[in-house]
Amino acid sequence: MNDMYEEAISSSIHKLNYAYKVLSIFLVFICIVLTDSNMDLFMVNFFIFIIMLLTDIKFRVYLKNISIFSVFFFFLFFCVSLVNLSLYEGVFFTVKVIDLIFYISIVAISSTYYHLAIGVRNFLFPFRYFINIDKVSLNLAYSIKFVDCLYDEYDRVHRVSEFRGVNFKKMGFIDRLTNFFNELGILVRFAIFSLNKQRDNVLVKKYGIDSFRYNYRLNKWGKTDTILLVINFIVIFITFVY
Amino acid sequence: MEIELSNIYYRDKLVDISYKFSKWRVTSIIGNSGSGKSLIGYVIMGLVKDYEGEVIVDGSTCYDKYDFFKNISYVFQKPWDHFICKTVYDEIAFSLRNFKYKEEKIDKQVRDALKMVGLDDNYFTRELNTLSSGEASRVAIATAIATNPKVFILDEPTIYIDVDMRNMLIELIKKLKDKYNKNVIIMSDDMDFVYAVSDNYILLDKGRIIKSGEIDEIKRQSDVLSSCSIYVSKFYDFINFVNEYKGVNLEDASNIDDIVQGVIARE
Repeated sequence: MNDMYEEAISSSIHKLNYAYKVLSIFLVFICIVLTDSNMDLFMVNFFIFIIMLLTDIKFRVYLKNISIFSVFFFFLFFCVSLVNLSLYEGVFFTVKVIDLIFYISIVAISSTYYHLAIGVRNFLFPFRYFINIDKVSLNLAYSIKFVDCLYDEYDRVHRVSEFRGVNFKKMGFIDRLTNFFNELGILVRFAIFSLNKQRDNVLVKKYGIDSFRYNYRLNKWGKTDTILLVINFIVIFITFVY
Repeated sequence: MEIELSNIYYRDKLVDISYKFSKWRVTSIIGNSGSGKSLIGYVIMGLVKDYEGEVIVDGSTCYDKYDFFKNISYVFQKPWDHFICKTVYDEIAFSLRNFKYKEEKIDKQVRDALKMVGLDDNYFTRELNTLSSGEASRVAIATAIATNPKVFILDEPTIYIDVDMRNMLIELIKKLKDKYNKNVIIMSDDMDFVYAVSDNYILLDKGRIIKSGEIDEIKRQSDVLSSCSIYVSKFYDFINFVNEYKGVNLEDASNIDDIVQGVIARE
């Protein structure tokens, strides 16, 4: 609903090679799978945080995308803690999953369906005689992009249902508790934002792809892609060694 | 229910908007694309949060949101933004169920609402995503009518509808105002439609109120509308022309016959 008031962003992450973007999801996934110590976790988090800063998108947007999975994270934490009989394990595993969704969120927000489909298609190209790679790549692109769309749809339905009579104020105990934590979350987000140097433009920039000025045929593999790929491998190496 | 906007600012999209929507009147917010018409509706409904200024409802800024939403209906420019349920019946009954109406009354209200927008009972089981733009627009208006609110906000209601529905909508709005004493707020740049239904107007340009008042005032001021890049009704443009060059006063003319009779009388 608010999209009409958002401005398009065109950061260096937005302009990355589409194939690299898709590859990087796979590489970050490997990093996260290999993560088994606090040092590894710190390293992966640091890498994702730096990429987030480079996207020039407000941290709030990522938090919104994550918040939609909050119940899933709680469930995951509960299950892992119960199975391993350790709260630490529960937190550790949940943070790893949050990291993965954060990274998918970065890629999804900084790309369109079409861009992602091109990226996936590059990898599927050798299989073109066996499967319909255009269909499969579009299918996979949608599955990556859904992280970004979930919050928007939730937001629309929430607002519309509110003014069509769903009373979110009259809630049960669990709802009140969830609401309290949500409001607490808003305060934490506010605190994070007040540290942000670009706080003047809070909400102005949500996300956007400068696709009108950007020809995908010119989307060649560049220096930034190579540098980030090397960094990706370094992170994998570190997570593997530690 | 009276709604008043007091010194509303929203980024650079709305600048110092203050206006009191009178009771039992049809008020049209006129402006070209991007002038902030829809945004005023969003501010009233609380769809945008970070605005400055106050929305005053019945003289108070502290009003119960639940009661407020019970007495107001908002129809989006794009009807698909409005939809939540799967079928037409469920969609129209959605608000009624939330407001805890009895099932018999819900059924009656849904049938009446659909009838008012010119759709028959065959639409009950139709899925919303199979509707055409015009049908979707009618269903969105039906959802607004069904709850019998005191205030209607219609954002560009004529954008997807055909001529029949447009005439029906004009009659419907007149009936809502005259028979049921409803308050209607319309955002539109369709001047023929605005002239047909409105009592008052607000003229917006780049988020500022340029003029406001009785609709008859603006009918004769084609130059003001043109300066705000708004389509000027040919009918009233012609009346202004006759008035200016022939000296025939046709202020009361509402159709071509009136113009012809006025000119013949002058000759």
